[in-house]
Amino acid sequence: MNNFEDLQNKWQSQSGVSATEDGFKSLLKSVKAIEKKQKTGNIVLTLTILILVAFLVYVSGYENVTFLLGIGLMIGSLVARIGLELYSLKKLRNIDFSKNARTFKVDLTKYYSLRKYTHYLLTPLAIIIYAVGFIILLPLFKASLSSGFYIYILVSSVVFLFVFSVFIYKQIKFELNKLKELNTKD
Amino acid sequence: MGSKETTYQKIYEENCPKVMRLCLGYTAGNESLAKDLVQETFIKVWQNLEGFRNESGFGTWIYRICVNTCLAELRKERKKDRKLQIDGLQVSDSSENPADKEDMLNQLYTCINKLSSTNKAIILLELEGVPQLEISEIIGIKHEALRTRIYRIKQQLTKCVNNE
Repeated sequence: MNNFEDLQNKWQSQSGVSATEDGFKSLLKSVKAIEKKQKTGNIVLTLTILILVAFLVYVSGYENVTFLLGIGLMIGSLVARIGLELYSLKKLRNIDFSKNARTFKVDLTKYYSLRKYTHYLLTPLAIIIYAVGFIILLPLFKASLSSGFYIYILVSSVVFLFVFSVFIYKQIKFELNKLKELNTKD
Repeated sequence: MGSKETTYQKIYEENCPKVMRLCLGYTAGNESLAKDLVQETFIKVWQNLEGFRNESGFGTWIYRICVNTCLAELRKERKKDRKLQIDGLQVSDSSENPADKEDMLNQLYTCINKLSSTNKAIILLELEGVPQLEISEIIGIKHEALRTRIYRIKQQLTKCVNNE
């Protein structure tokens, strides 16, 4: 027969859980790597934005309204979707892990509840806008490209859209499961 | 090493064993998962170190981060955790033998894993010997309510470990 005090003694006398110098060094390495990754991420993001702006300035010289509208919708929807994702990520990182567990759970639940708007409203909207932009561009592609390259663009865009949708579907499923578990009564 | 790093090393050395035990409890004894959670906890400690305001004790602050990290991260691993559960282990009363002690711990992990996430956190802190007032601060439940809850969980856990 084990009473709770026995269990507590067993629990506290567990072996193999001590801090080591190597453990600390590896931890410090991870901490530094994360900080470096965040800095690199910011540089990559800034460069991407600069390249996109330069590209838009370059294509605006074409003065073809249909082309500008199509490419604008495609790039705009992608940038908006990525921007939204980065904003969400920042919000998630800003959730205070040093609050008490009950408040933390409420904050996490709020975060995942808000994500439902992204999943059910903003993501489908971004996909539709992207597709509209692409459809607007199709006649221009057909007129200016060889039929082989035109078919390639058509097929690859469908494949891209499919892969992108599967990726988003998995993310949505994962986050909705999290929300479901967070809402499970304790 | 800078002063932040020296402080950090001291915090790590002083708190690693208790954080590891807590994470082991959350992962039903899965060492590799627990190590990931320990790492995740100490990364958050580093990131929030400058924001520590001395409003609560340092130990309480670290326990909060650890409990919340486990709460947030383990949801990804729930399916894996379930596979790790070993049901129906017989526990011997003569637990001086290392193998028996291991069985007892496994059974304890299995029983803890059957609890809800908050109850799991509460009993792990109680097993660690954290004072109840501090537990109520970490979890965010009033002391009186916590006392009743701990009594119930203790009964549930002891019964489960004894296969009653």
